Amino acid sequence: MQEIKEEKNIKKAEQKSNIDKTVKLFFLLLTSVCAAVIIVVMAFIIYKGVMPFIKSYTENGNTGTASLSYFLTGLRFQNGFDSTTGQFLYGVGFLVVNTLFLNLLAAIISVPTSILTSLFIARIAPSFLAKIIQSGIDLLAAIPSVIYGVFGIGVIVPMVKSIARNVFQISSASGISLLSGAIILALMSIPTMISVSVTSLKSVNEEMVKGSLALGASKTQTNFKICLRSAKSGIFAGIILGIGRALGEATAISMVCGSPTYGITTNIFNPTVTLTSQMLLALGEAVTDSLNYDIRFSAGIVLMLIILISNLILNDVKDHVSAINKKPLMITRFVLYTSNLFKKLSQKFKGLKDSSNELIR
Amino acid sequence: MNSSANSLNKQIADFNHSNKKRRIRDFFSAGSTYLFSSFSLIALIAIIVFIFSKGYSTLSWDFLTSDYRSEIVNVETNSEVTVATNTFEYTPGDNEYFASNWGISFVDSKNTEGNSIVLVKYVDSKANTDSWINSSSQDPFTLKEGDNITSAQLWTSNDPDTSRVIVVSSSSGAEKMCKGFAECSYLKTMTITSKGGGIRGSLISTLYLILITMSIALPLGIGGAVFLGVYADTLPTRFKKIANILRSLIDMISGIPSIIFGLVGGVVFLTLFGQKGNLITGGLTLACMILPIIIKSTEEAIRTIPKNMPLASLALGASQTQTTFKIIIPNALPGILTSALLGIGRVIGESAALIYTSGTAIQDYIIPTQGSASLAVHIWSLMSGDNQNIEASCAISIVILFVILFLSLLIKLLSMKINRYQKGK
Repeated sequence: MQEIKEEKNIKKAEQKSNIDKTVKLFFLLLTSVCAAVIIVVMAFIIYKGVMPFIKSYTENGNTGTASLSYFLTGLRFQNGFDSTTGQFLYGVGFLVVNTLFLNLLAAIISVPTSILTSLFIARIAPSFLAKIIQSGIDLLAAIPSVIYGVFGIGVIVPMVKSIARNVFQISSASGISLLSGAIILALMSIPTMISVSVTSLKSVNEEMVKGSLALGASKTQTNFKICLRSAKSGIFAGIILGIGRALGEATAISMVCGSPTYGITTNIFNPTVTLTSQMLLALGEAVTDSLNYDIRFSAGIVLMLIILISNLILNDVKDHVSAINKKPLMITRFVLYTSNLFKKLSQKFKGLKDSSNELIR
Repeated sequence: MNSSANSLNKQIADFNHSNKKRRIRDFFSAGSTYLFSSFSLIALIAIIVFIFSKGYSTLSWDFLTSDYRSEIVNVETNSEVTVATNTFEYTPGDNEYFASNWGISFVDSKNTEGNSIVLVKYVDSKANTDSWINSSSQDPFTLKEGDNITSAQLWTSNDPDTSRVIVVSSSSGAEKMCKGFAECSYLKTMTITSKGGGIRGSLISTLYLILITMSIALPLGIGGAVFLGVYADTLPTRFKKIANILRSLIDMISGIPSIIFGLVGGVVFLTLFGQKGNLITGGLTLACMILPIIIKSTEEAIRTIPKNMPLASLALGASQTQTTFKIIIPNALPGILTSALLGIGRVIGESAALIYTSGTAIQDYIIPTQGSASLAVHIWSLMSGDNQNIEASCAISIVILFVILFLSLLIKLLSMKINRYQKGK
């Protein structure tokens, strides 16, 4: 009787462990599905984005592929059909430059603002004020980008217009411009930057702060020279995150930046068109599987590459300036590596020459 | 002696001088932090003040519940007519015209497209409108304040042989329309355009989107978070690498801009679910987008559960599965709710991905298999056309802001509940 009971128990335990295993596998499956999203997205973007340069499309009675050289350097998004080479001319080169310029301008506004604000929140402000500003920033982060766009059209655009007309005497300025876009973009990326850098500023080693104060530095000196420096890498991480967000922003930019069809915008009071806003533009007219639609995927690849490269560069700078594991810049590393390589090669070559000389002798 | 005193004095003077300099520098650098942090606060206040001041007048219960497209209703009188012979008392305001025999007052206005229209400003409670019927449905029709009268054909009497016919339309203005109504006592036919411009359809399609998105993203996300938070730690070392790879892949999702999600979602899901963008494809795309948010927040909640709770459950003889479902998930519920609320906030505000996947057409009658604009996309379509409608956009923005504020308050409350474990320690 006892044995039978024990056997039953063992069987039950085995069943239990089997159930455990299947449940575990099930959860693993769910996780893999989640992780597969990124792979599917990347695969589709690359597959669809490469297609315009391989497959031939028919548009307005012409048949051909898209020209890769024009795509990378072109100054007009849609420049018709080149009958001599039999290729469609779609360009995003100017969009890349515009995007980078816009984001640079936005970063010039947002980076100092977010660094100083996070220093204020983490170190300087009395706690109630810090709480108020912190929750204000949290609210700013939660506001969707279309509302920023509406705000931009209603407030920023008229403001920029009046500045351009009254201060800079540009009578043709409409306010829908690069500068408006940069201001809106800066506003949108500030909350992301602040939330990361505040955390790192709050976790600065207190002993270091006290040491600085004991050495006779004033509170403000300590804040600027000790806290900011030791939280450098966290602040940089925030900046990287914020710029990554800003690069991918589409709707607000398309609302306040206008839609010129060609050219690099250098005057900050002129309208500009970026990669993302071009991807949204005239989407309704584009039919699925047409070249006009698929070329947006190619623009998507370019956008992802920009985000990736800017992330890499900024990360590299972050490693370079960070207090703990300081690294030389990637360019310096590259130059050093290549010069070493050359040295080694030349030495080898010299040795070869010497030995050949000896042989000849 | 004298010289050393002098040097001391000089040192003190130097020190005072440098101290003064330092104070000035400190003042300016500390002041700059005040200045810049007030900048972002001012921006927030400016946004809120602007949105509320512009949108407040448009926002009303009617705005939330009425159709976007204006509807045309034909009104006629049934055969047993009552002729308007009463006189009503009403003092009309500026630019308001009152037809005292009908008890109706008219006012000039402009619709969302900027065309001039005539609106009914006031209808007396005993006004002679009982015999009016909707000519298509034959239901009784009651004139309401705010109705837009496009045109009306009025007779001076019920007898077709002797009566004079007066036709008034909205293009002639409120004053002439009032005159026509005042002269005649018998209404033959009338065309009324309902107001339109409401956001009921967009509200409903946003709710649909939330429903579809959450029903896909929550199970997947919770599953992923449970695996990463519970099972990944107990894996043998060579499998831990796989778990780490999965985790970093999921983290990478949040770095992809939403417009890319829109492009890919438009292609992948549209081939699966019909040719044109619809709410299902939009919801699926958003579900992919908010997965990392849900996984991260849920995993964090799972990790804040004290280790001894699942261990005690295991020691009492419960299997790992029972522990997961009865101890870990119920205790992580506040975190799961937080993640769901964060996800809802994201769905409400998202526009770029939806423009590709669920279309920008504003609909009144929502079918999930049809493209329809959500609230955020509604704003986008209002603002991207030639006639920008800032007032209506701001009114919708107020709705969105209120929902987001409410959600963030809920999240704050929930996070207090999560932190209860850490405080108890």
